[in-house]
Amino acid sequence: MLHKAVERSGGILVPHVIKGKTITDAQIEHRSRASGDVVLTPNIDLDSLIWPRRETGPAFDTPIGEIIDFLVEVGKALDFDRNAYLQDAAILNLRCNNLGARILENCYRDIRHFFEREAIVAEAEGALGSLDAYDGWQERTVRGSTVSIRAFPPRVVHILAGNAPIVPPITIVRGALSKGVHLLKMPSNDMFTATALLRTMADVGPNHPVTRSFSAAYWRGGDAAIESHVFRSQYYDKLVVWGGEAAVRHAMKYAAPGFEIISFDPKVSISLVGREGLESEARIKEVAARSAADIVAFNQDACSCARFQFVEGATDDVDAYCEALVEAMGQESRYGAGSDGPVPPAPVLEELDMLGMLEPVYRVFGKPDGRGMVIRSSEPVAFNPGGKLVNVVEVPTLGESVQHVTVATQSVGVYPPERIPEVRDGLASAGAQRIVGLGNINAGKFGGLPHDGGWPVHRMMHWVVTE
Amino acid sequence: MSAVAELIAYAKSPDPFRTAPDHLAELQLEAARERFAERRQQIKVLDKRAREMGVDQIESLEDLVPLLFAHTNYKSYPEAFVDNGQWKHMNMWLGTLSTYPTGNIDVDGVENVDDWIDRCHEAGHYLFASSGTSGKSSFLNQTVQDREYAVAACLHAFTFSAPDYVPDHSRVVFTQMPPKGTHKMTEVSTLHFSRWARPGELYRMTDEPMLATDTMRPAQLRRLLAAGRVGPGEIAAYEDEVAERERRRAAALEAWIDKIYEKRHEPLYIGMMWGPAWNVVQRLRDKGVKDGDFHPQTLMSIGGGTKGAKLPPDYKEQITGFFGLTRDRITGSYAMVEMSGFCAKIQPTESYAVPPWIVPLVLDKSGEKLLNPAAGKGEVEGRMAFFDILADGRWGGIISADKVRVEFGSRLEGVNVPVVHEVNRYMDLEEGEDKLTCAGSIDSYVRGSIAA
Repeated sequence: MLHKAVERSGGILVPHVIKGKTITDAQIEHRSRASGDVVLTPNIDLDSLIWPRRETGPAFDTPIGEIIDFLVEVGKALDFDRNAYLQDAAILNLRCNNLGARILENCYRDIRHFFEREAIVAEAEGALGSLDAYDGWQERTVRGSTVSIRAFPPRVVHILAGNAPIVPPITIVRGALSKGVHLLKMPSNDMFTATALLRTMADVGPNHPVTRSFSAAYWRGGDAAIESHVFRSQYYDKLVVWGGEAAVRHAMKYAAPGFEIISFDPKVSISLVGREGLESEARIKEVAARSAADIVAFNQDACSCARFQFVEGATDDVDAYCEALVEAMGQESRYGAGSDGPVPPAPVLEELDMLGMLEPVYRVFGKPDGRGMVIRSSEPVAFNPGGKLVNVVEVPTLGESVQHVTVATQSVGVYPPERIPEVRDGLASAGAQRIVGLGNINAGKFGGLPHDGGWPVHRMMHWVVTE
Repeated sequence: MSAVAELIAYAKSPDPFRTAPDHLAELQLEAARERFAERRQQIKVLDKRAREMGVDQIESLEDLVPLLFAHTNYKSYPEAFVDNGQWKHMNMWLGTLSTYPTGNIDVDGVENVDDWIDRCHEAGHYLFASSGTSGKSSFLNQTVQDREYAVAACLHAFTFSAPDYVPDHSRVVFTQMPPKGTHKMTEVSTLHFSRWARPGELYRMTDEPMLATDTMRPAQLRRLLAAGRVGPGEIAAYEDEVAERERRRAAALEAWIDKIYEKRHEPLYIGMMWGPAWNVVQRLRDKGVKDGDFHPQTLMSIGGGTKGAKLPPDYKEQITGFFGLTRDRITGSYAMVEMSGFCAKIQPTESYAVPPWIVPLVLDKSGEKLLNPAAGKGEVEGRMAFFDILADGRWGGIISADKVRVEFGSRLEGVNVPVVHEVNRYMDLEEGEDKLTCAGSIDSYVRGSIAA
């Protein structure tokens, strides 16, 4: 259907989904920031973007068990080989996403796993402790008094990020668990995934309360004609923003009493490699392969991708490791390109050129040929490595690397994992949020774990007490 | 005599522009050839670039194009070297861009970047610093010869562009330039204005030296804050220090403007940049000074960019009109810190003469293709780049951010060199500059007056 729309209008149609209804009446022309394509969206009726507070949200009183059953059914319909919405979204996203067809398709094939019962239940229980906590008023005795507490369903606007198509399924599962109403603002580099999921949902349960609790639309980020009217405490409780600095900073402007920002900030991830990893040639090879998995996934365009590695050891050993790492980064993986990957941006290449002159203080491994590059140094480089480029920083001890960890550090891959207890408190104190065995950063399963230093469903809830 | 030596000698000539030889283009190509052959043995970055680009010798000016350095080359040092006081590493970095070895720079006891610059000078590396808007200074090396010749060339250029006036210690001089500092023009400015000033009548906007530390400190604190290496007390103290300095400078500026007001009916020589000049005009207007209410012999040397200041479109006319300047009393020039000497204003025109030791290379906007007219005659517009034959301490090839219109073989007012008719910065034009940005994400977490 989308393909026909493309041919007819000379632009790419971006459908909106408003409370379960798909809108394909293209009226507004945009120029895609990501691909330069002409895209057409429906006209936005501002009143349709909110659920009035005087009305109870469609799923506010739906039992959690029923919501989970419904999500599981939606998941079954998200089989990539049989879901035309997902296939279309993948094809169209290829134009404005840098991941390439193979990795992107793998991401779409994984979407159904976010809707598996085990994942959903773990996410729900992790956030609020038990499924019971989701349904109605829970009586408790607190300091001698009997009170009732309800995790009241919230009203939430979500500013989605588009670097990998996993943000919409996570948002939808969490949003559905909250029973609240949710407006999803789609990003310019993924205008298709959120609606593909919501249209699938509408097919599975056309009038289901969860279906009617979601809307997804695209407008140009920062468009005051829409945002300044909708992002208000009178309509929404919270705004969840994923993403880059501009998006987060922009969202912060709307913070006001009664309108709270939950930010999944821009982040970088790192690795810590202990001297055990450099003990033998075979070990170096193994560790390099694990590192590569953490570095190159999603073409290093996600917060979870390692950009700096702190490696404990003598320079010669570290250099041997760097050579093995370039080799390993050139191997294809499920979420990473092999020899045909991206290269660092031009200004970074210029810096590398210069730093390469300063051997032995710095040393550059690999070439800008898509296979991967490493810059070894004794201090982190000043730029943000990307485009299959990692900065290996030699440290005398793993503990020393903690000084380079900040509140912008998301995931830390550690080798050997036995040394995690040695560093985790220091890492957490410095700001890191997730510590995993090296190589597992992108192998984590969704559901039941904290995210960016909190429990998102718990943070979304509107906690109300009657005393 | 080598072509290089022949061209360099012009820097000491009072009028290198009219006395340049007829076979200048040939001589320049030969000099570029000589310079390249020698420099690639000496400058590591140049040799690497030449190898990568497959340039073995200079057969035509086209061969110079892939060998041009951008301003950013001269600030390519890792900031960690400065933050961590790794001055030996800074020597090593400087060495990759310098003609002569930098291992002789003694860094014992160096505490900040200005100390390091002083030590470079002591070792015969007459570095000067240039501050960008990025908060990262660039450092360009020069030798004692560079300094001597460039100063002479600049003074002659000033004289050339005001032929009807002679420096005779008869004027009240106002200049923005402090007596000391890392800026390349500090020395030239002092020598130039001292020739014109009556004893005791050289007034500077500030006497505080211009230090590289001041330029670099905000960005450095931003990095240290992001890295968790400074506490709130240090940041607050720095902000107080900056506020105090601003107060001091504002008071000094006020006094300086009062002095201009007081002396305005005596013959003045004012040296200013366009941006600050606009501010001065506004302040004097507030004091009731009317357009042209200045001594009719007042001279002004004005130029530079506007540094992003918001000015009316006719700011140049308004400023020169306010000081009552006629064209012959404006001693402008076109230059940039990477260039030895100036392109001097050709009176009575609005064009600038390129000195014979500077080979102008007009490129397309992307900086890849040479547009100079083949027959050595004609007009061309594009990105300004040049090869500076005089530069001894570093490689002379530079690409700029300016859009220029250059005419070859014009013979305008008898000059025998190429002439620059029009200059704009790409960033000030509607077409804009080709931007390259790269942000590190921890910067998002830093705010306050040290934020970029």
